[in-house]
Amino acid sequence: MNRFLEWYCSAEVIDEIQGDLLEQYQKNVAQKGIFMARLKFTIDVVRFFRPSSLKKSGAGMSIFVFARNYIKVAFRVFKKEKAYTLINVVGLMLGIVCSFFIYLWVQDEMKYNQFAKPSAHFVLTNMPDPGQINTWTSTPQPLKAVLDEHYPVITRSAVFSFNQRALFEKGEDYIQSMGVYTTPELFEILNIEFSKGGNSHEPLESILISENLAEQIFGPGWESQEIIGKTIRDSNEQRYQLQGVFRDIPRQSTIQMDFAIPYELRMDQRPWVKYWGNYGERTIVTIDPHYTTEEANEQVKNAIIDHRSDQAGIAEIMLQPFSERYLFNKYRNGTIAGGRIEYVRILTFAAILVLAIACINFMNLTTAKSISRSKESGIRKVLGAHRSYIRMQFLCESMIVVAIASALALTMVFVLLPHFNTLTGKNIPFQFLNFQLAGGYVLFILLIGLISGSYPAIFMSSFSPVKALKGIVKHSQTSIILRKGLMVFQFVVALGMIVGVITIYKQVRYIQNKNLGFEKENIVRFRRGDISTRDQYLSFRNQLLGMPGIQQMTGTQVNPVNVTSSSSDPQWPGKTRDMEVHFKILNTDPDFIPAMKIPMVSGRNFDWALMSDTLNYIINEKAAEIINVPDPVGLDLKFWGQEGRIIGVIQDFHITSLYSEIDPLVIRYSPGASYNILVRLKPGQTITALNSIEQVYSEFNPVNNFEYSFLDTEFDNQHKAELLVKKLIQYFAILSIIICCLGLLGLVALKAEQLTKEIGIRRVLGASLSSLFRLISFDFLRLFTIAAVVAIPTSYYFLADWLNSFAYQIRFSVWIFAGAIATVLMIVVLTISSQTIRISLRNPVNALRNE
Amino acid sequence: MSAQGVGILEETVLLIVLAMKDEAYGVSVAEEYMSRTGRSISIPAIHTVLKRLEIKGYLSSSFGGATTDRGGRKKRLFEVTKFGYKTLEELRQTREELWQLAPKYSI
Repeated sequence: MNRFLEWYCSAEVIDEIQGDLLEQYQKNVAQKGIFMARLKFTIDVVRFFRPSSLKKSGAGMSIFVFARNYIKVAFRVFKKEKAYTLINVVGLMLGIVCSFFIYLWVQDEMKYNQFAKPSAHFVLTNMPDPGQINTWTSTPQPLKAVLDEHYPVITRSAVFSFNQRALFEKGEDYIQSMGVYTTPELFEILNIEFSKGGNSHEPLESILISENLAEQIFGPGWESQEIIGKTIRDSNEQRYQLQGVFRDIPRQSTIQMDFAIPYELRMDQRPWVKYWGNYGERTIVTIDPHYTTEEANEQVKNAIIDHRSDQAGIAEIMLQPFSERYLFNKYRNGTIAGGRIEYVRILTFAAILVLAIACINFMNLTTAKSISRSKESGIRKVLGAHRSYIRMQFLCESMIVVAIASALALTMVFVLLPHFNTLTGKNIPFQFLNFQLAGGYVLFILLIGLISGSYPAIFMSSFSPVKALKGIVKHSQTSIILRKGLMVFQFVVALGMIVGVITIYKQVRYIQNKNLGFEKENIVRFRRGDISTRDQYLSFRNQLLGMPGIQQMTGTQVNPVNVTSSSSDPQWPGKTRDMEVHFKILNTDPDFIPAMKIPMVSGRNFDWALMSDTLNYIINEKAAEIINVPDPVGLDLKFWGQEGRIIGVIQDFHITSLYSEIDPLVIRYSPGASYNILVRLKPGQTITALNSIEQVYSEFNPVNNFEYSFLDTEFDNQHKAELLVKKLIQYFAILSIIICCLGLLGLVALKAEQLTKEIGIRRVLGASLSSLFRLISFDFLRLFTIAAVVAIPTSYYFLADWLNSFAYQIRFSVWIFAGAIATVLMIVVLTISSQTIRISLRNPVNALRNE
Repeated sequence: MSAQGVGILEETVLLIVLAMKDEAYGVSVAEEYMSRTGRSISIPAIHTVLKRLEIKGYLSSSFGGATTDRGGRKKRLFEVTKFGYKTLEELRQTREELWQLAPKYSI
């Protein structure tokens, strides 16, 4: 306690305070015993701890005094070396901004599907196909009952439909919404609570809606209204009794719904969903927490095989933790094979690299600069500063730079966040007052300051004061090698980033421009709405084809850029029993092939005039290859109990994303199934054409709004993740090049400064500009060469891996690497030559007499 | 008017310092206060009062001798200034005038 008193007490008052306290203490010992005396002493010491008795800063030798001096000196240095400080701060700032954005993005990605019960698992089916296993995210409806009854490891299960569109009446208007048919367990599995009413699925025609939809239907004051029990009507005159309002599903969820209708109603309305053969529903379960996913999987994988009575189209099922459903969304041969997580990893890696090169820049510049500050350290040492104080000083300086850079970075993040949200299609809020974030932030500053400041600090404090004052300090061999090594690393990162950008850019452009086998441009797709009968469709067609801007139209059952329905049912003479082939099925009309501009290979197209063509089939080349007869046209094909013939073969075209290869396809002429209407517009007349469609559409659809999409956009949307990564990695590459440039600029400038006299003498003796350039650049160019040698195989290795996830990929060419090298080299040379010119243009006299 | 800023504790301490002549410092003042009034006061409290009185100009201080009891630390000895003395006089006068006006009770 006494020492504490001496530590804080200023010299002016220590005598009276300590003296009085000690005197009192002695007396107290005599009167009240040692314990009480001590207690009183301690209490008094604490009570004296107040501003009037504290040491005045500047008066004694304390840590505060040093800190004040360090800060003062640091700011003087910043002021004196403006350009160099600017380079340091800007470089670090860019690095931090970049990594901060990625941190926000990754965090948002990680939040997906985290709201559900931890034991929630999604059920997938592994459908065997020749040569591979296709994983489907859909399951048959009877699976739920089997899982509930026979597998105790499954504690709860829910079956629910894919998203359904509905239009709900609100006065005269309709509100469009997406929702599902589901059994009640879904809400428990997903942990969704009810703000009004409850999870009631009685009566059959009841409905549960989200808060969002409640507000749309009942207005902002819905919470205070008695809305439970009210009737909601949809555009098909179906009435539902409102039973509950559930909290909105979090934005970060792969299951989105604004309403839920009892699943039993779906089974009443669409009896076919009850069959095992209909893989059209989704199943989600919770498992007994005592089992791991693998153990549970082992138990249930044969659920369909063991319980499906007809033994046709059987497949193993697989459980995937619901929380991983978003990031691990690619499946290969019946196993989970990454997916979005790869992009999370790539970007995290890139963010760390960018931050690392920013730190390296800082380290390099500070260490190189340290020579010119050796005198300062020398004097400090002579005046009695310990090594640790000098280390502290330089660490302190780095911390200040990092703090300034990160404060600027934070401001930039705040300003740019809306743009970032638009770019990534997210909605990340910025919480400045988040305690956790603030704490993490302080830690981050300390960490980065420590990492990037530690080497310069150790280096600077190691100078011998005598040498430092004489000005003969040289960088040691190790420090030079380290600095060069760091420089090489920076070049490697910059080169790798550029190679990455070029490759990703080319692959994405390849996807966008790939000949898909049909012309995807100028095709508008929309839902048929109320145009449901064949007659309505034909009159719609006739009316529309007469309108301006319209070239062709056709109707299909599913979106032709993402054909998902498939069957192993087709039979033909010569098909062996053990041959299990899944054909993709596309139901459409005779206009499809001409409207999509798909070339016929042989045979003929369907004919509007021949109703018998509804029994016939057109196949693609891939299917023809599998059927494997010399001329498949005219071959009998039995399919879903319907005996017909193959009448034509068309060229292969892409029916799903470019991740997968083209599957065998059977096209059927099925007039009633045109849920999607596709219209080919005349090129250049988009607006006229859209007006025409809307006009005709509204005649047939008084209720529905005309909502459309372009087929090429939809195709691109399947590769959204790649497009995003392409954009982000572009920014990263630009940033890393800028940071590298800044560092290079700083280093070249320093080198030139150190060589001022040499250059002056050379100039006087008549050296040319190019020989000076060689003098300065030789070192940097050598480092660059080493970097190129390292960067090329490394980036090749990583990118080849990424490209392998595409079924259709570009080939690596020398030009990608040559381009990257040329770009970086150009920047390096430009930087060096600008500095050379700057120095050479100075009058050599000034350089030589600068003492 | 100058006497207005003096509280009862301050006045008592001032009187004690006056009475103790040359030997008034933290511990002694605190002891005297305790023996006279019967109330205890801590060292930090007495320091605060003394310091305040010094700032107001009623006391002046100088360093005195060190003893082993005090761990070799010097004492800060206090003395009442002329201004302090005048203020005490004024306070007494005011009080006496008021006593003059008060009716006499025998208890």
